[in-house]
Amino acid sequence: MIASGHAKAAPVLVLCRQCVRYVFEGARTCPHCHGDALEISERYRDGGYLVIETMQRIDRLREGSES
Amino acid sequence: MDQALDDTPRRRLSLSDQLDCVPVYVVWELTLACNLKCIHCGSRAGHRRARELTTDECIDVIRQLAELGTREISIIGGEAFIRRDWLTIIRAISDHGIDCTMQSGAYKLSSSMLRSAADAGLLGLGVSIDGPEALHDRLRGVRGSYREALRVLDDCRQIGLTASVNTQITASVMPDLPQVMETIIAAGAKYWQVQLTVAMGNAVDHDDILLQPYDLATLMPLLAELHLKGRAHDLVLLPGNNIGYFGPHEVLWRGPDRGYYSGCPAGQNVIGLEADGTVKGCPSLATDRYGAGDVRSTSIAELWQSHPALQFNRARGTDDLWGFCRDCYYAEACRGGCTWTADSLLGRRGNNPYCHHRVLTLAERGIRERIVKVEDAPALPFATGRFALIEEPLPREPTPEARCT
Ligand code: SF4
Ligand code: SF4
Ligand SMILES: [Zn+2]
Repeated sequence: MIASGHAKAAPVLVLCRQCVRYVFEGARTCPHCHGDALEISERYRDGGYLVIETMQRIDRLREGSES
Repeated sequence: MDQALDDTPRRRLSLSDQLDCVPVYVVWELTLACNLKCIHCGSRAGHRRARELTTDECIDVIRQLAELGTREISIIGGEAFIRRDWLTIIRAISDHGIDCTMQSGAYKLSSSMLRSAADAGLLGLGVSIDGPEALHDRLRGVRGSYREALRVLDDCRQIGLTASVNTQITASVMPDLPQVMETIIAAGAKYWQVQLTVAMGNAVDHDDILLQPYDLATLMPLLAELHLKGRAHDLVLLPGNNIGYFGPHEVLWRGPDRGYYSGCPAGQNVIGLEADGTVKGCPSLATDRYGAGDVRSTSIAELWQSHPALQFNRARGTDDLWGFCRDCYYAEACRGGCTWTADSLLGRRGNNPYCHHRVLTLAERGIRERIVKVEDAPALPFATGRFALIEEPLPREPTPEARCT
């Protein structure tokens, strides 16, 4: 395959674990709900997001693409 | 593009795809000839272009794309199957190890043609359904086109070809979307891709069919509801690249981890080809602003590597952003959403009023945005007009008493 060019990668977003909207990785205070974006809420856990997030993180580590 | 990126595994972008600018996904207008007369058609399809590529030239294009690392080519039109050599082209794509899919209005696509396409290597067919029968036929300009589309979906089921349905969201179809979904479920399709009709070509002539940006306040919760209902019926509702961004329902279809909208991939991981060999970063972009020369005079690799019309997304800068998008929290990730949508509407990319996050933020300030046509589009393929963006106070919800009087 021919190398075609060089670009930047997109910045990483994660979900606010309170209101389940996207925030930049590392954000502590959510710009939407103003809550603690890292603190896992019931809504986050009960909605199954925690499980999916964990599985996807494992997959990514396995693929060696964690940035 | 007519069908924005969905979630098929080979189309999913890896980090190295992004960094190395691999043109993973190519959308190729094989001909501009078409047997429908859609009033929302951005390319104003109907007659073939003056100098469409020959069969040999098409096969050379496929060879070049394979060398560049393309993994999927979606053939579109006009109507791709109007070309006599469409099966030869499908076979050549497949023989080069590239997945071949097709987007079609499906009018007069017979069951034997479909079978031949599947034998040649076609892996999936996207069929357009833009509303219940009367609305679909009015939008597509041909009576009977709705029934044909349903018949082709049934044919796909019988021959085991993966079928998806594409729906253009116009102002007229919005209230009928639940009914459209019922039809799609009954037809046995597994994927439903929806996208907003964009202010380009024929849609500028019929601007009453365009949604107003503030309609997203109604549309997005409706799509969320339909997405959940679809899941229960084995139908995946996939909002296209011009439906977003970052609103409260987004997680439903993009998932919790790395699925978020990461900006327009035109010219970074997508190539659009016009039937005469013109190369663009996305097939739907305005040719006058985004055409990057043609494959007859320069190799695709050379154009891809160096033509300025294909480079605008690669540095991921935010200098092009203006208006609300410029100061948006998501600016660096999103960069104004779909280039085609914003650029066609306002004549310049980087400010996209069709955004749920934006609509909600403005609503908190008591404001909404409306578009008004100020200039028609020339009678050319992929031509754009000009719209003005008007901010106005958000109408108050009528009180119960006011509703009764
Ligand atoms: S306002 Fe603009 S930059 Fe922000 S999320 Fe919406 S489209 Fe993207
Ligand atoms: S302009 Fe970009 S985001 Fe819009 S459809 Fe084309 S590739 Fe997708
Ligand atoms: Zn939050």
